[in-house]
Amino acid sequence: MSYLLETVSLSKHYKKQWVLKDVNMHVAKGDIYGFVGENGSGKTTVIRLVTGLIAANEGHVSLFGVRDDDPKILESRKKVGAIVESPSIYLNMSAADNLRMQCTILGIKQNVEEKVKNVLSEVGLLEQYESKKNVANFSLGMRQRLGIGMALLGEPEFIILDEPMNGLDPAGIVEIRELILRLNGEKQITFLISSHILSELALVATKYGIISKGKIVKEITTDELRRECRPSVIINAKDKEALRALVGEVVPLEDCFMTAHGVRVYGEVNLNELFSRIINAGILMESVYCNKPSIEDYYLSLIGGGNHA
Amino acid sequence: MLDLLKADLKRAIKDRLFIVLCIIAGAFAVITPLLYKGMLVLLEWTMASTEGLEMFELTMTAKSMFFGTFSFGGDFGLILPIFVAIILCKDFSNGTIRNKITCGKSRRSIYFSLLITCSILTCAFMLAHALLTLLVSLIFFEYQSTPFSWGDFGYLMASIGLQLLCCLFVCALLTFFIVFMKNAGLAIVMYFVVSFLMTIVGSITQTMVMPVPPDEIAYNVLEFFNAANVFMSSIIGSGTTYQLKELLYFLLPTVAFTAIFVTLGLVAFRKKDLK
Repeated sequence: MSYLLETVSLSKHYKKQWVLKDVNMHVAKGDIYGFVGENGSGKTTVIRLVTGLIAANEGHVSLFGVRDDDPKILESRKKVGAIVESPSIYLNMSAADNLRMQCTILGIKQNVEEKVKNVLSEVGLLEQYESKKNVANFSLGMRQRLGIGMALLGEPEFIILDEPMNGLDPAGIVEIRELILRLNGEKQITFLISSHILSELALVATKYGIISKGKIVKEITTDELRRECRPSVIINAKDKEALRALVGEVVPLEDCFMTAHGVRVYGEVNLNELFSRIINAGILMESVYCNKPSIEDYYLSLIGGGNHA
Repeated sequence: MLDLLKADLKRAIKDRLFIVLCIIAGAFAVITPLLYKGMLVLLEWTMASTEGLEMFELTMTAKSMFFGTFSFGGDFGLILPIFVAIILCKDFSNGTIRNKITCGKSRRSIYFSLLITCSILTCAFMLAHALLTLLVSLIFFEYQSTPFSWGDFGYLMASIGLQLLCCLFVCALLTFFIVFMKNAGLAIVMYFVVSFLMTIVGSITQTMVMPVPPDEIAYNVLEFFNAANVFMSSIIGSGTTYQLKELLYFLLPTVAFTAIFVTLGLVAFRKKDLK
C-alpha cells in the first residue's frame, strides 16, 4: 500500500540525547490521523521533520511517495498546509494582510481577494476582512483560526495541524472540528492532527498513531480501537478450567479471552443465561467485573501510565 | 524566488520600522549639514585668526559630507544595520519562516530572498540618505574647493559604485548572522563586534601607514589592509582619481569576502534546524 505520508525509522537526537527513535508512521489518503502523545513525547519533532523544518539524523520521510532526500520533495510539500506548534503569522499585519502575504509567497496571483474572503469565512473570521486590527491584538483562538486559514490557502491535499485546539473556546473547537470533517468529507483532504486531548481527537480521527518517549507505541484504526475499548465482563472462578470450557460453549471464540484467574468476555452476551449456566454447572464464581475502558484507559495501558483492566 | 522576494520586500515596507527609518534618514540628512554650518558660524565668531577658519572651510565641503555619511562608520551607517536586522529577523521571531519551508520553498531561495531584500534596503537607504545629505549640504557649502568637472562626476559615480559594493559585503555579513543566530539582538551584536574589530584594525593600519615605512613590502601590506577594510572605506571618496592598485586591493578582498559570507550563510541555513 502506498501512503501519502510514511516515515521509516525516523530518528533525531539533540546533543547526543535521542528525542525520536525509529519512528514508523503511515498516513493513507483520506485519513484523519490522530497523533497522540503526552507532552514532550516527540509529536512536534515528528511534525517538524515531516515538514522539513529540521533534518533527521537517521531514517527518512516519504511525502506523496517522494523521499525527503529527493529534490522533488519540494513539489510534494507544495501540496501540504501546516501549522507547526503555533500559528506562523505576521503580528504587525491584519488577518487579511497575512493571508494576502501568504498568497504572495505561494505565488497565487489570480482571485486573491476572493480566496482571502473565502478562507476567512471558512475559519469564522470574515468580520476581519475589512478590519485593520493587527493580529497582535487577536486572542489565541483567533490566531489559531487564522493559522488554519493560512494552511488552507494553497488548497492543500494534506494538512498538518499541531495542537489545533489549543486556546480555542468550546464553540471554536466545535467549528474547527466541523471544518476538519467537512474538508475531509467534501475535498478528501488528509489530516495529521497532533494532540494530547484524546477525547477531542476521538471525535474526528479515523486512525491513531500513539507516541511515547520518542517511539511509536501503536498505530491503530478507529475500528480497531473501538474493538479494544468495547465493554467486557471479567469472571473469576476457583475452577477456572471448567469456567473457560463452559464460557467457550456460550460465547463465540473471538469474544472470549483467558485471564490469569478466569475469562474476559467481550460483546453483547446474555449475562442472565451465562450466569445461570455457570451456577447450574456448579462452578463457584469468585468475582465478576464489568469493564468499559475509555480511550484514555487504552492509551494509558499502552504507554504504561495506568492500570488497564 | 521572485514570489519570496516580493513577499519579503512587501513585509519590510509595511513594517513600522521602515517608516521610522525613513524619518531618521531624512532627519540626519538635514541635521548633519546644519550642524556643520552652525559650527562654522560659531567658529567665525570665536576664532581670532582667519587662518584656521580657512583651513576648516577648505575641508568642509559637500563632497566630504557626502562621503562622510555614505559610510558604515558614519552615524546613519551605524544605525541602518540595526533596523534592517530587526525587520528581517521578524521572519524568525514570528515563526513565519516556517510558512515558507512548509509550503515547499527551497532554503536556498529563502536565503537569497533575505539577502537580496537586505541588500535592496541597505543600498537604497544608504544612497538616498547620502544623496539627500549632499543636496542639503550644497545649500550651505561648495561641492569641493576646486571647480566641478566631468572627471569629478565620473569619480563620484565610481565612488558610489564602490560604496554600494561595501553595502553588499555588509549585507552578506548581516544576513549570515541573521540566519545563523535567528535572533535580531544577537545578529546585531555579532555584526558590531566584527565591524568594531575591523574599524580598530583599520585605525591602527592607517596610523602605521602615515609615516611611510621604509620597507616596501610592509608598506604594501599596510596599504592593502587599509584599502581592503570595508568598514573604513578609506580609499572611497578621499581623492580625485582611483589608482588601479588601490582599486584591486579594495575590490578583490571585498568580492571574495562577500562570496565567502554568502556561501557560509547558505551552508549554515541549509543545515539549520528551524523551530
